[in-house]
Amino acid sequence: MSENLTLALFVTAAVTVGIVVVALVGVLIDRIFTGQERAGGL
Amino acid sequence: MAFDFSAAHLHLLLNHFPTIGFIIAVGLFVIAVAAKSDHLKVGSLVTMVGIALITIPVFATGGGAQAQICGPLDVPGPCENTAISRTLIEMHEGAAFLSMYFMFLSGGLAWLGLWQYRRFKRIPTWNTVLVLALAFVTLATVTQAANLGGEISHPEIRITQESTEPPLGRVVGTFIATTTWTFAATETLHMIGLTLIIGVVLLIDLKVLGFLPGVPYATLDRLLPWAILGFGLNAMTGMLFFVAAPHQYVGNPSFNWKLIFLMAAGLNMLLFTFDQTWIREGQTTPAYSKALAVTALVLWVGVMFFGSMLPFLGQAF
Repeated sequence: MSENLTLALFVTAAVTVGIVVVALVGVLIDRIFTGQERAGGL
Repeated sequence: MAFDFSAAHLHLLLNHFPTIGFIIAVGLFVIAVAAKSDHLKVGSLVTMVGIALITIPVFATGGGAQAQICGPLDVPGPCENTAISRTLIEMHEGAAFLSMYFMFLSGGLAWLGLWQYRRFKRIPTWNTVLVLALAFVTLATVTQAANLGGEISHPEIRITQESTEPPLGRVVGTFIATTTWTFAATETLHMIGLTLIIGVVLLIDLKVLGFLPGVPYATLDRLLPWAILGFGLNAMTGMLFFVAAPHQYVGNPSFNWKLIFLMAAGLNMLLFTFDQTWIREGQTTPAYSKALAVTALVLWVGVMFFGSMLPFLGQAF
């Protein structure tokens, strides 16, 4: 039981970190690559 | 003479693309920068993305080639043919693994550059510099992988000393395969990448086909980098599964079909990125763009189907 709990905690922690990293990279790409749009480039 | 076309043949055929193909792409990009030609820049960026896509089957067929010249992938120890060094093969795999991830980064940046060009009609200087810098690093890693690959079957050019340290591909593969939480977490991230791709591609395709009339093209087009991010995430996580258990994928018909559909879907997504026609608001969408939208949906369903069928049709895991 405790082994399963440890596994669940590790997976949850890793997936949470993964989602946060993906979201940050996505927002960063959106910010950087659409910079011209906010500057009136579109 | 019987016609015998194996994974080794396919690997030997494809493995020239990441080296020679990428040298041509980078060379064209340098000429485009010097000549200040945006059209040539677009052409070289398309080539870079195409080469990055091809890197996936190049790496995967490497596993098949190893099985053919060395023996079963899941049986440790020296190769059945003592003239072939398993250590050298695994050093080649490790170098190829590293270069493949650099290739994904280069291809992703090139892809974003193409998207920028369509949206803003120019590629900014900072992106050009970044693409060039990353492309040269990628080229260096690819050259190292190619050199090690050539030495496997050519003792006359062999200069590499066999390392006693486990190569990168085996270190990562063993870590993923032996720690349950990494495999489960990577699988979950692979699904998140899939939702990013399908979510964006489905919305754009529905718009191109005449649905979602109230949503402007520019709004949906702005989501495309998220789909590119999802594609990159899944390329990276997907190849982690491969290095963790290559014997589960090599010779697996579902995996082969998944790769075929993936290459076609990637090409389709690439065409969409620099297709200028579908994005014009208020104008009739051409049949070509609609055909691209329909095929995208079919191809991504194919990728998902054969991915899901890996344990059933291909008997993996």
